[in-house]
Order: sequence, then C-alpha cells, then structure tokens
Amino acid sequence: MNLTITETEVLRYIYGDCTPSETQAIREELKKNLALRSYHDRMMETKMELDKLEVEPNETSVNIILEYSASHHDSLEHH
Amino acid sequence: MKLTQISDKELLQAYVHGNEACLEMLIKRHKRKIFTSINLIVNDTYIAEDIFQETFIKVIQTLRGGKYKEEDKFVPWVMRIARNMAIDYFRKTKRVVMITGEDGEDIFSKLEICDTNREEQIILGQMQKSVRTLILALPEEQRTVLILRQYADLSFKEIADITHVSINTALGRMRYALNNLRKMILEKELHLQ
Repeated sequence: MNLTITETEVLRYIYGDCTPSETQAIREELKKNLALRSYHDRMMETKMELDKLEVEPNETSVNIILEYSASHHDSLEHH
Repeated sequence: MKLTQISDKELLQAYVHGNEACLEMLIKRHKRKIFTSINLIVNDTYIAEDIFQETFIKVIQTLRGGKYKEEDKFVPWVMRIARNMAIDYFRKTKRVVMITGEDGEDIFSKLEICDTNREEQIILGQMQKSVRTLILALPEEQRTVLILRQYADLSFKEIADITHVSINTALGRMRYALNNLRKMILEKELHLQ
C-alpha cells in the first residue's frame, strides 16, 4: 500500500489507531528504518511511564452507583 | 461466553432490559480509564470520586430513559458526560477562570487546574506523582489530547470530534505532548524503563 510512514503514523500504531493493512506496513517499515524504530522505542518507553499512572475509583463510589441503579430500577423501568 | 467477548453494546442492551449485573461489568471494564481521566482533569481525587459517581448516575438515567443513541460508543459517550460534569462543578464552585476553546466553545481542556495541594492525601507513589505533575505542566491543548488518548482510550478521530479540531491537529498535539513529557522526564531524571 502507498502509505508514507512518518512519526505520526508510528504514534497511531503505538496507540492502536491503525487499520490492519497500515499496521502491517508500519511494522515492515520499522524493521528497516532505524530512525523511526528509535522514535518508536522512545515513545513506547514514555507511554509505559504514563501507563503507571492509572488509578481506580474507590470501591464505595462504585457501590453507590450500583445501589442507585438497583434502587431506581422499578421507577425507571416504565419509561 | 467469556466477559471479554461480550461487547459494550451487548452489555448496555442487557442492562436496559433489566440485567443489573451488566452495569457492574461495564463499570468494572472501564472504571480505571474513566476515573484516571477525570482525576487528571480536576486534579483532586475527592472531586474526581464525586464526578465519577455523578457521571454514572447520569449514564443510568439516560439509559433507563431510552435516550442513549446506540451509534455512540460507550466510553467516548461517558467521557463527554464526565467533561460536562467537571465543567458544571467548576462553574458552581467558581474554581474556573476560562472554559473557552479556540472556537469559542466550551471544552474541558480549558479548565483551570487548581493549585490546592492535596497530593499528600492522594494514594499515589512518588513516581506517579511526578509524572502527574509533568502532565499538568503541559500546555492545555496537549494535555487534553494526551488524557483523552492515553487514559480515556478515545481514538484520534473521537478526540478530534470532541475538541473540534482535525485529526492531524489532534495527532500533532499528541506528538508534542509525548515529546515534551519525555524531555521533562529526562530532565527530572525520573525512571524510564
């Protein structure tokens, strides 16, 4: 396929935003293009640091939501 | 059928038809990304907990009221509600300076991040705190795209729609955000794997 692979395409690839054919083309390019490969590795490292930041809500918050849903089940069912 | 094989759409339909357990499954599946995004937007864990609850209560009311459009993907839809909840909160408490985008429309990226230091109350490791601080130091436009892509898991197309810019602009902002973050991480000598 005629896809010009730039850092932007690599970024889309890292975040799973590519079609299967684009993914294949980018993988092929990364095998032979050292500059892009280096960019890919640097961005992946950064992304992995960002991944560590994920936090969960308190279980109480989730329970409040579920209790609200259960307690309003009957009244809202008739909409 | 495994839980992972059931789509959000199927869970939503089952929930609307009375299966309460499906709501719990949806929350369990997406709570980390949605809560992390809200938390980074408002920069306060306690407010984030409130907005997380209010967001899902609105979700429940909309689903039960039959107002949910099935073409909307679940997480982007929830994130739009969360954004509006965050804007409402800051308006009510007057903790916002400006909520106007480039095109004059409200976007949560313009929310003023409050400086109240409640970090000590937030259960995060030192590394998490440092990276979080760096994210908050990014220019608003870059921070918005980063949060929506990295934590809310929206596609660049969805981000472009929400922020009223082209996909290329959203992608460009993400590139700058990651490049800037990497520079700051290296400058601060934080650990990179």
